[in-house]
Amino acid sequence: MQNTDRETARKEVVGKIDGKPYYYIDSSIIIILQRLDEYIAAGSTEEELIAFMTKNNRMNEAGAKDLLKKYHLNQKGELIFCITPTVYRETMLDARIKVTRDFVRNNCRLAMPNMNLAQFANLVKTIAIEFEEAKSKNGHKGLAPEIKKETGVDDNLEDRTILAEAVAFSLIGKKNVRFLTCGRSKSKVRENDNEVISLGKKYRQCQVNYGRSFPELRRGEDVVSVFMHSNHNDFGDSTRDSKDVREVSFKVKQIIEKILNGKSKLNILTPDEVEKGGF
Amino acid sequence: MDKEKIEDMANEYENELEKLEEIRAENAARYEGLSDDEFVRQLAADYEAIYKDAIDEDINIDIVMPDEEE
Repeated sequence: MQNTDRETARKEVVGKIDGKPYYYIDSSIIIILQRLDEYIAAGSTEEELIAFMTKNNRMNEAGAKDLLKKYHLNQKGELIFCITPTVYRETMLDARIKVTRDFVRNNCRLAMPNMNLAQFANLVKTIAIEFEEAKSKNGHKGLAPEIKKETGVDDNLEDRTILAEAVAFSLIGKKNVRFLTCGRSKSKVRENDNEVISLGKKYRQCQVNYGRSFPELRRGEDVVSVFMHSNHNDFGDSTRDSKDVREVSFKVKQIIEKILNGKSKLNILTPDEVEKGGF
Repeated sequence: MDKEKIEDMANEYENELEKLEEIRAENAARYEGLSDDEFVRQLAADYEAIYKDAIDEDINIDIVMPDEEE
């Protein structure tokens, strides 16, 4: 990808939460960040930290400095690290990885889909299948080189799931692929719980029992796709859901094609990404 | 600079990455061979457990809802 294209693509996908940039990080980066936390607390110098990160050629010096910079920005509250559920499971729920819970609790946000989890799982599956189909089209040579290059993921089911999750989260929040559903996080249920919003002719009335407001929906503007079900554990077996799944799948496909064509870029930090100098 | 210390730090990280590979291989086995529906149901159940754990642990959970791009 040309540098100009890369910059354009990057601008397209890098977003902000609460006015702050956010980056998805994978488990290997969490492990490094946590080490930085420990080593800095123990009085290690910046030179020692850079030497540690570059010791086994996992990163070059520019990448190590970039990650250290992001670490400091995160510590100052100016940058948000996001992790997907699978990354959480790998690092937090498995005692074999030496990651302190305090570090993740204090420094990371676990991405939460604003749709029910079964629907989100369905979306992830849809994307994972797209990757599988891409693999087939690619002559069984694994994921398209662009994906490997951009994300550093390997071609196995678990990595495809991790990548699919990150893609799914990236899609949520896109203006034309915005999802509503019931809230799962108790901290997010607010006063307007159970508010009913009319979505106009195209969409039926939907019960929006999630606290965040969507002014464009209130105005009835047709700028979003709604993919929701008020029943948390129900999915995929009603006419309405099937229609929505098709609609979402189509848009997912469009975006996946964009990724496969190397026209987009996922904002996931991986060792390869960091090695190349980060974002 | 204490080269031995750097060596220890780097080796420890390598060991962690090896464990990560093991974990990923085991996790992958959970989904291998499942039908699409089974895969979705298993994934959703896993998410449920993960988020519940995170809520119990008071981990920051947030929607990934990027601000409008500038």
